[in-house]
Amino acid sequence: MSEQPASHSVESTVHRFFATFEHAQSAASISNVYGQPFAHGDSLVMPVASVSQFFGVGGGVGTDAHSDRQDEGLGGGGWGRVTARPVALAEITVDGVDVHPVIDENRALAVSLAFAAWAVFWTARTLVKLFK
Amino acid sequence: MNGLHRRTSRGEPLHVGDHEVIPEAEVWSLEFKQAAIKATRVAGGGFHWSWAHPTALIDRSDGAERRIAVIDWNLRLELGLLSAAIVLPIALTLVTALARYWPGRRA
Repeated sequence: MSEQPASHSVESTVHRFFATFEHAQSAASISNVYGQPFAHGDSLVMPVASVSQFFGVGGGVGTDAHSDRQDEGLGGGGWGRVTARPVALAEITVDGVDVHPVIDENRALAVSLAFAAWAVFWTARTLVKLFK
Repeated sequence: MNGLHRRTSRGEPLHVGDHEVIPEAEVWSLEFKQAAIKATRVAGGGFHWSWAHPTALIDRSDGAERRIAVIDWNLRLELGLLSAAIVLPIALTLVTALARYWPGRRA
């Protein structure tokens, strides 16, 4: 049994629940997309990334007001994931801005191979149907 | 706020020589949350998804403004191949169906 009044517990739970979403909104900001620039010779280099996040939460808290024991129950759970992928390097010099794309070769190869397999399957299926 | 939202925001400008460079990004977010509140108990749940990606760098110098797009080539490749993967079966199915009714072919 908690020493806190039930109403306080409910209020703090509601507050924390909505604060989680407000915090998530502010976390998805431009400061995560553009990294801290660093000096490289006469130029400034700034890493650029694509950032995505997902989370789901659920839970509840409460007391059984009709019970003699005034039992308080609390339960909940959640899951979250944050991913960041490099997109480019921005090089800022006195002559201007250059954007150097970052290509994820492993991912590009995996996606291309998956597509090639899909294309071979459909082409073979079509040829079999045409000439059988 | 529940629902799908899109916002474009600009970051702190960087100064190199005469150049003022302002980063720009776009943030997509999808959120749903709900709570049932009673006098002595509360239950709720929800989810949040957001995707923040760069759009451009704004280069200001000598009174002129230049917009340098930041292109996510990885994403473009993936979306291009995904589109092709959807179109390919449709096109090949059409080819098969048309060939079935081609003159001289057995139906």
